Amino acid sequence: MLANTPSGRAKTLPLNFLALTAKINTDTGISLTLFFTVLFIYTSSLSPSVYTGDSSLFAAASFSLGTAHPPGYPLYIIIGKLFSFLPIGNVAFKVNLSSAVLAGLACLMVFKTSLLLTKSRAASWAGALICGLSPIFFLESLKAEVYTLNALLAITVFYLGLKALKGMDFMQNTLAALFLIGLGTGGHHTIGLMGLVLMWPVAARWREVTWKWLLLAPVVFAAGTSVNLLMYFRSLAMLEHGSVMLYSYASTWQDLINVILRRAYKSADTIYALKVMASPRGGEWLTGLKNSILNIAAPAILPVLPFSVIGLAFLIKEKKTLVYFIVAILAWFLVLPRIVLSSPEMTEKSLQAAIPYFVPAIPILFSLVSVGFASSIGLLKKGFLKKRRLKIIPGFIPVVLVLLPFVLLPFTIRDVSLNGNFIAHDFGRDILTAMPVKSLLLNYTDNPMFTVFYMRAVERLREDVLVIDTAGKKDTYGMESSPNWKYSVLYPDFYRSATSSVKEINRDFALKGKLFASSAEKMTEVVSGHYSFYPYLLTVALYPKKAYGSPNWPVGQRPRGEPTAHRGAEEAEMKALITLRYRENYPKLNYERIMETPYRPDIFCREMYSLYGFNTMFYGGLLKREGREKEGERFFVTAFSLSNPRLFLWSYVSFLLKDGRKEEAFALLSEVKAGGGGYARLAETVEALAFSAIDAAEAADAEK
Amino acid sequence: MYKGFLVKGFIVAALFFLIVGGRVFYLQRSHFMTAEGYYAEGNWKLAVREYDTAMHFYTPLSPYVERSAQRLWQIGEMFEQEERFDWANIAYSSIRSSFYASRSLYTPGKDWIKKCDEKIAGLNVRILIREGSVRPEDAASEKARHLYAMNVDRAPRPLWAALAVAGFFGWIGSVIFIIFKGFAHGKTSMRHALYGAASFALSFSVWVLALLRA
Repeated sequence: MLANTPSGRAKTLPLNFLALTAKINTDTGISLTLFFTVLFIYTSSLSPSVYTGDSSLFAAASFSLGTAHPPGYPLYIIIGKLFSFLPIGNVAFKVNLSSAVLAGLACLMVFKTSLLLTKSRAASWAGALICGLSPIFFLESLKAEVYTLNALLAITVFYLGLKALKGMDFMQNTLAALFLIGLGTGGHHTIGLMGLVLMWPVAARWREVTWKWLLLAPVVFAAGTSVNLLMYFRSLAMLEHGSVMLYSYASTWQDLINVILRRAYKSADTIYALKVMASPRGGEWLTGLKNSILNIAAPAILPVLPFSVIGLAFLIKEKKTLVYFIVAILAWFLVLPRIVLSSPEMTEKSLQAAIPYFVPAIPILFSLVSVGFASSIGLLKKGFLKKRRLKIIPGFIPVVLVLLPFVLLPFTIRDVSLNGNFIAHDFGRDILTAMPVKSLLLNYTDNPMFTVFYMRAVERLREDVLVIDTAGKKDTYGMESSPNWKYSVLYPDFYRSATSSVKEINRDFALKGKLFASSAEKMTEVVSGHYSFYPYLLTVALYPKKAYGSPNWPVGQRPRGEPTAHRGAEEAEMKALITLRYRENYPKLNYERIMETPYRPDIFCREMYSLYGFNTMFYGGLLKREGREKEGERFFVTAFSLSNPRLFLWSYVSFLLKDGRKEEAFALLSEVKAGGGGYARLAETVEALAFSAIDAAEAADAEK
Repeated sequence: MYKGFLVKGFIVAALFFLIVGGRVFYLQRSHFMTAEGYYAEGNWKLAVREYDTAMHFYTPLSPYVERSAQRLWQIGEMFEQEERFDWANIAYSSIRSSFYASRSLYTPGKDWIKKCDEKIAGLNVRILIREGSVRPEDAASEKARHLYAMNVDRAPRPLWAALAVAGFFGWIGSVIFIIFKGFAHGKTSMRHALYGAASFALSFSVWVLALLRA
């Protein structure tokens, strides 16, 4: 037993901080101290409202007791709903808090697992605390996301498996672990990997596998998976009274299976993932292993990396436990990467998307680190130092070793904290605030779609605007945000013509200058085939490519006659209307707070920063064209402080070129170049791109 | 044993509310103070933003919620008098959406929400008349349509939603009870297993019913 190794006696060390924790004579007291320490740090760093990516969707779905995107995540949704009952703060904050609490509980399980392995409270406490504050784990604990729930389930399954492996109540522990894995299918599907890990304790204690166990195991697993029925029953409820926001609709058993297996996602389909996992190609396994170790495992435990190696070395005395850890590490860092990280050329986007999948592995790694802590302290005390009579060393060496990672914690907290980060909150609000009364927003891509979902479903902002989710639905409408029962009175024409084509329904709005899309690039074919676009605030405004003879907008009467080819004057008139609205509404954007928000390097945040940067440049340009040079200049400077110009300068220059404002584009680039420094180099690059774009356009014209 | 469990539970809950409630109240107060600064300077846009944020950190019985709502209402009326209807709309919407964002088992500020609904619907119609989309004689019917969209709400009913959550944790607890009590130390205790099964059946039924009704 490891408890009999030197590490097992670490608590007897004459160290102040060890003695401090040893004085607390119950594990419960220490557990509570750990949990509340972690919770205090998380609460101080928590995102104050919605965050980027799926976070807003989870908050909205939790509040609605609905479903998120496939596989629906019903387990997280119902836990989020529980937290939304707290009578303090806003809904998004409360759902974010659920992630923090689940992360705190995962840290507790690290403590318990480590204690089972080492019997050292101090080492276990230190390992669990550092786990909670390791950057990847920490960030996921501060927003509404499923990964800390997955981490809690994974470490609990690991703990139960470890107990079974050590001969403690095999039947109870393995059945409970299987139940949790089943329940975990209502969270993130990577929990299935713990099924592989659990096979080792079952194999190692095969003599304890009885007929009763064989009978009960599938039953408890199935009982756990029944959490997924939430999606079916809520879909039925929606059919009955149309009340919930369901992103994954599953009112038939077939639909339910499709949602659970993520059939809509093709390459991310669960069955496809399993097929990939079964693929025998060795190269991709190795690439995945390398990618995951270098990009995830090593950075996650970097300050304490040596302790994990020491931990593994000390486990040699306990071969079964050692194998258990190795199986877990292989499951998370060999099998999972084969599915999500096996491409030899990892893009930043795919890496960022994949990193949170590995969050459940972090508590397991930190249990190993705790073994390393306990073993190192024990080794120094009993072996190395005592034998060499280096009496001066024991007083501080072990303390330094264990405390060293803690020195880095304030920096981690500073870098990862989402306290005061309102970027997603302001983004969703600003999109809606900038919409004219009774307009139509076609929503594409996660950031605008999910933040607007939340603002509408929970905060009920701008209920005069029709918001249509068109993502993944080709050219049909997704009415989650604008259900018939709510909007058919305000928009009778729209709902009457719901069976006619998308382009016809949109046209009325477009002719009034009230049709918008959240992204120009992601528009569906029918929309992009029939409508031109012009930048609007954080979105684009759409107008028909073919206009009626007399559009007669913005009065709003449907024009008569057949569509004709666009006449330049009409297009110019349309752009003038959009620009006028832009001019009026830009000051409503919360760009000041975006400037104050600490920069976060993830791709979703960058998308938002770049949109604010672009729009501020656009506004500055408008002011300059009005002859308000100084004010315009001020907004150019604001744009550069809002976000890195690398994110938006080229898109702004490219827009100017497409809008036939070459001189303006090159004047801007000369101005930036004159400023010198890194921006000058950027301007040179953008200038080269601009020349190539002009050449390409001229060549295309010549060909025509 | 149960007494000890209750004491521990109470300590945990008290600490939890102290940490979370303290943080929320601190954030609310600091945003309110910032808002007061902007209000004194006459920077209405930032004042609205900060009052709105203060209200988003809703704390029951806190004076800052009511005071923020009053300030936002004043700013809204001021914009209205200046005929800056869209800006007035932002101020009133801030009150309304902040109270909706703070929903839990109850919706705070229902009176405020009702007052804001009237204001926002009226302002929307005035904007539409001004841009020529609605004729002045249709104002009343148009306002009624806006009010309908703002009043109709089918968010989950709190009681049924709470029952759904309770039923869920009930059947989870029942399965764990069956595993740990019904099959303790490799022996089957039929009594515990039956209690667990009955509890499972009951809470699972409550869960399903509440999901359908919420």
